[in-house]
Amino acid sequence: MARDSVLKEIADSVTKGESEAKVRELTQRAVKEGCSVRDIIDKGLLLGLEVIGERWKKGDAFIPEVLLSAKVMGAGMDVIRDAIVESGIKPIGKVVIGTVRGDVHNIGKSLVAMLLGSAGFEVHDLGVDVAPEKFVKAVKEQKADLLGMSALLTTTMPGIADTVKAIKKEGLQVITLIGGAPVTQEYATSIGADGYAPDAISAVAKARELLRIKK
Amino acid sequence: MGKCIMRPLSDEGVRKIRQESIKILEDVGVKVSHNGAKKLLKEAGAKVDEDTNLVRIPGDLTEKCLNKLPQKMVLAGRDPDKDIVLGAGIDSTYYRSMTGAEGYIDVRTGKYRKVVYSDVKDFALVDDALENIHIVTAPYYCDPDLNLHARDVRLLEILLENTSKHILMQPYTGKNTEFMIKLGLAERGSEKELRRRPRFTVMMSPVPPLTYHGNEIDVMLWAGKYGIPLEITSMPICGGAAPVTVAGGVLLTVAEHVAGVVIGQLAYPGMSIIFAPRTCILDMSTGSALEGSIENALISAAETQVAKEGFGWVADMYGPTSDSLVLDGQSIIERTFNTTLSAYAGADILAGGGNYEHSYTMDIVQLAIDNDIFGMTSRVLRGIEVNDDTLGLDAIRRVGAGVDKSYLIDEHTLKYFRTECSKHKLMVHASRATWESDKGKDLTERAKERVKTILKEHRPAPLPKEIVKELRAIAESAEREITETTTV
Repeated sequence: MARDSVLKEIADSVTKGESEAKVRELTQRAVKEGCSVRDIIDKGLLLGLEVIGERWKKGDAFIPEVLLSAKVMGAGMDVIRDAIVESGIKPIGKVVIGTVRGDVHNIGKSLVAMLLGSAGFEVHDLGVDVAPEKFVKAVKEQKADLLGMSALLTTTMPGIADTVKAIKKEGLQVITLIGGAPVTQEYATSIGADGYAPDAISAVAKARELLRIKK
Repeated sequence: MGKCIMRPLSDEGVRKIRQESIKILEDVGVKVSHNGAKKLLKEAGAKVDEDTNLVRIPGDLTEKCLNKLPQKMVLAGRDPDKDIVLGAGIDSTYYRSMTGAEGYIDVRTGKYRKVVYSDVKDFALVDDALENIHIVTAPYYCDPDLNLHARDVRLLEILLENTSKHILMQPYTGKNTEFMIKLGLAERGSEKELRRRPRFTVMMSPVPPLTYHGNEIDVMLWAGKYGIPLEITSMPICGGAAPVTVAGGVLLTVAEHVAGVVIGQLAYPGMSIIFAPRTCILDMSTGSALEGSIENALISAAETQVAKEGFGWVADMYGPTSDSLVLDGQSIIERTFNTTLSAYAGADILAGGGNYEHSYTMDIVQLAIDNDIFGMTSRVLRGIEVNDDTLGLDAIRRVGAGVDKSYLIDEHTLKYFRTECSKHKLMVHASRATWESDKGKDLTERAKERVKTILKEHRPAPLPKEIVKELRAIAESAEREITETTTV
């Protein structure tokens, strides 16, 4: 079927990280062929990213390749963004993410932000050295579903606990997902965070799992 | 005397890295958020963008500042017999333990846990006792009921009391550095004496790529003000915050260090600054920052070469380090490569004793093994002196030829056997029968025994009671006043 074939082409192109222009063109063709927005995402763009994600887990693909796939997938998503809104499909979730107060470690957190964005989340990256009040404000303003926090030093980890406390105090219904080298599941449980992920790809899976449970 | 040389870069490679590092500061610039530092840079002729904090440093200003680095620096022990002198023309190599870990291997159980307060004294004892450790450091205790934001100050207090060797500290902030200096002044007795024989060195890290936050500059300024030597530890991750190529990683690291030197020399001309980079590799499978891989070793050797041949800097390099999470073969392989490559490239200080899990874990049993690696490294660096006597020309003629001849009790053997063949406490050189009769212990077991003996028997030289009292009072006031940490 012409539709199935173009969706497969999209997925392959995303997996290969083959140019934003190509993915854009294929996505436009899929729209012309009458593919549903849902199918373009699930059987095309997102599927392509999942395939390379699985390869990454096995050790057959590497972070720069995953990021490249994420980038070209983003180009495809841009083509159908208006259609997504029109069809009533909401982004899987709205995420506010940042590195906590006093901490400037950036790469891991940005990796998670990029992968979440490509997985269909709407991501608001607050950057580094983010105080609890700033997180709370952003969660309120964006009506975020998920709050992601990272700390790379044990001395800045209290920023995570403080923000979780502040979120609970304000009664905000947002899921907290935390990470960073010194962070552990044990720590997450002890401070009342909803989830912990040890690396970027797990973070995406965990985010989706936590939001499915919530919804 | 011959010298072991490890030179991964060509002369042209060194020259180009030097040239390009200076050019980066002019073309790309460095972000400096400290107002005092920006002012100094602006007044000296750098272009400062107040909105973005981007500072472009002209090449001739950089060269002028590089020339202000001192030729020699003293890293002092409690008494002069433990002093270390580093600088131009000095070929000695010194060794130190790692710093900054919160993970610890309990020597009694062999299990991983977080560092607790009582571990610090144990670590200091082992550091103080090991014959190949010249600079002492501390693990970072994590006891939840203690003030962890001022623990760097408390650690210095503990080390001052428990070792007579030079100490390296990693202050959290300018305020923490100020308290450390108070400790130094109390122990030395006067500012003049602290400046003449600095009892400790401090370390700070810029944020890659090419950024110095206010916090880092504060630490630097306190160090410069009191003549405390400063290690600048640029540690970008290749592929993350630095180019993925080994050459590019070296270049960015060097550029960051040069920027630090410029600021330091503008603030305190002649202040002692040590090049102490820890360039990491981003593992593209796991996202981990590696410190012990073979590329790390190669980068470290290249950086040492650039430091020595390109700039004439004093260099503190890894050293024993590993990404392994246990004391196993991976740990031994990685730390041996990392130590030897940097040592043979001419590093002044080899750091990292006791280190694995890329600086997250300290293991005093590993430290005892590293002591032997250091000893073996020293033996190689000693080289081989060739003269008539060392060649044994007379001895060979005396002994002559024939299967019944022997050198065993020749005067030449008796003269040299103690110094020629180094001894390393933990290496076993027995027959199988002898080894088995002594319970057949492997290296880790033997190292554990050595550590236990040290902990039981070694006592550091004590400080006078009045000084101990003063040091403790200073640490206590730091714990009262310092209640948060920032790296910004």
